[in-house]
Amino acid sequence: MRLHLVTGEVDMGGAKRIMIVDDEPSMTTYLATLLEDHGYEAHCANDPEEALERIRDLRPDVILLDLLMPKKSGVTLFQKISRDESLAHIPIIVVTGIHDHMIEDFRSFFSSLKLRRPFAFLEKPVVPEELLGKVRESLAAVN
Amino acid sequence: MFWTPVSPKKKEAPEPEERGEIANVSEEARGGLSLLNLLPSYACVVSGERTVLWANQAMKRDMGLVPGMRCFEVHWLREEPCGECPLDMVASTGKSFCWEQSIENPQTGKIQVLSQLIPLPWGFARGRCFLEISTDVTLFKRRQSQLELSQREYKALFEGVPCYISVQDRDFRIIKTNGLFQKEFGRAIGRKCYEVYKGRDKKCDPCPVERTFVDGQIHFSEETVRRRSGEPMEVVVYTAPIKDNWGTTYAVMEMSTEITPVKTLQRELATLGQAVAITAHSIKNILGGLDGGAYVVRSALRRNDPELTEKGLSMIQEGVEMARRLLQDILLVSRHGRPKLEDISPVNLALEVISLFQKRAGDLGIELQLETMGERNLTFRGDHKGLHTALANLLSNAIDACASLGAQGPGKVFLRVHELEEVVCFQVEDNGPGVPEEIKEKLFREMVTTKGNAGTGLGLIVTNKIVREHGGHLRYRSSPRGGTIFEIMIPRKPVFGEKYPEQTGLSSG
Repeated sequence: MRLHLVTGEVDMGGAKRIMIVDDEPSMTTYLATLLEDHGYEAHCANDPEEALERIRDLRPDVILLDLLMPKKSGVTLFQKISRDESLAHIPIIVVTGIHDHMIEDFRSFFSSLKLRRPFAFLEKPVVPEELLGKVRESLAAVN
Repeated sequence: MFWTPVSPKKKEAPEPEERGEIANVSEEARGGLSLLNLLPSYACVVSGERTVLWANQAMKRDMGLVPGMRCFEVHWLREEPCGECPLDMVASTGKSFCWEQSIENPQTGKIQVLSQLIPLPWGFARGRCFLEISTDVTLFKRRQSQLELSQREYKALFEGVPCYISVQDRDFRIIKTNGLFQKEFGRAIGRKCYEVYKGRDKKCDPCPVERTFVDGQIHFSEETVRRRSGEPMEVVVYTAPIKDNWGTTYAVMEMSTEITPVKTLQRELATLGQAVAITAHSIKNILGGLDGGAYVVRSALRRNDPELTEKGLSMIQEGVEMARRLLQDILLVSRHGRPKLEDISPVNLALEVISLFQKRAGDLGIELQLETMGERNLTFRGDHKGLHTALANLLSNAIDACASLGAQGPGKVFLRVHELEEVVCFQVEDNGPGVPEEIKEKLFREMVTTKGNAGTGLGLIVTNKIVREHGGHLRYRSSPRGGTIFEIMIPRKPVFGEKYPEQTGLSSG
């Protein structure tokens, strides 16, 4: 409950909106429950196409993005968000199930694209404190 | 044994021959004989009765010759003429004769000589006379026998080493092979090495033989060559120069040792390592899922939200289900021993597998189609259960890939059976999204699941293992429809025991 106060409710403009994009419903359910428990307003999308529309509508404060979604990979979604000037300011935290060494590949991939980089990379399974910490940091960075 | 001269016969006023002298010899002939004193060989004139009438200085010196001795007494310390004496033949044919013999030299013991017996013209002496010239070839013979011995040793080594050996000239033409080579590669003398070893029509690049020709050094490399039967073999190749007296490499010896079993073991270990890594990753995912589920259930109970409780519980259920699948796959990967052989009809197998997925595909709105080519449905020998699992894995992957198309569907999955002369080929093609381009190569090498909690990541390893146990290949490539094609090739005459070399993991082609 203390965390609740420190994060979500402390903001005068109401709870912060967090968009969770992952193709696995169980993952989005878990992350949404976790974030809601800590005072955030969580929104879930299991499909990247749907996610882009929702992001445009909702204007979330932070986006949690899985990179390895089928169909259009999370990388494509990341590029689209980054190129959209109205969305480019939203911090993106990559939450993905790939191995550590592949995350390194992704890092160099992002720098080769000359795009802004994700705010943070988190590996699944997610450690709740770590995720909440990164969300807090990203919000603080924007503000 | 020391040679004791035989005493000459004691007789009053002996005939010149009996005295060991040559009578009635012209001065000219005597002059010729004295020239023989200069020879480094033994020379003597023998009468038809085998009495030594004259001997050169070398013979007198070395043989302790006494006038009147008979040739067999001198040469062999015998008391009787030898059984087979060339003198009789030379006397009857009138032609000279050359032969090798070993004689007793009182100074040095037995020596080997090359002798020539020449009939002297009538009138040279009173009776018929013969000139015998013998050259000491003992040292030469000893060298020769040493050479023969080392040649025998070399040959034993050449034939006995557990290597395939061929010797190539500068044109890469094989000029010599050993028995083991002939057994595996057949007759090859005169043929080009690249043709025999690899079935190529051009020199290999790089070529270890060529490198040895260039720098005269030993080189080694690992190669995959082809047996006479067409079966591939992995070998370590050493190439060594064969040089002439001037140090020029005129030929190169290529020695190959088979390492197929070692390579197979290496690949198995690599796969095992991969499987362990994937298993660890899967367990991590399972634990993550269970953790998440437990968190959601706890939170839902706090919120008094039955719907969320239900979601949390199914997350836990999913985790348990995935652990069960993982266990199944681990058991399959670690399975040992030969596959159980049965007659399998390819089309029936495909029908069986496809029927398993009809409902799931139907529910997802995915079209599942069987296509056959060849339409003979000839049976082949294989492990029914194993191949069933392999095909089911590929089909399941394809359906999952299509499922992610969502509204962009309809998804289509084709299972094709191509019946060829030598192989049975199964193809599973989907029109799914394919593998994300950015990480394609890595994904397949690492065999990481793209399905999050749905797949264990061991599926392709299991499939690959089963196919390899049949001496077959598993390949993948991008489909023209945008998805992926997986292809299983099983030889109609399966080669068990991993005799076929395979690339680690999957090969793309």
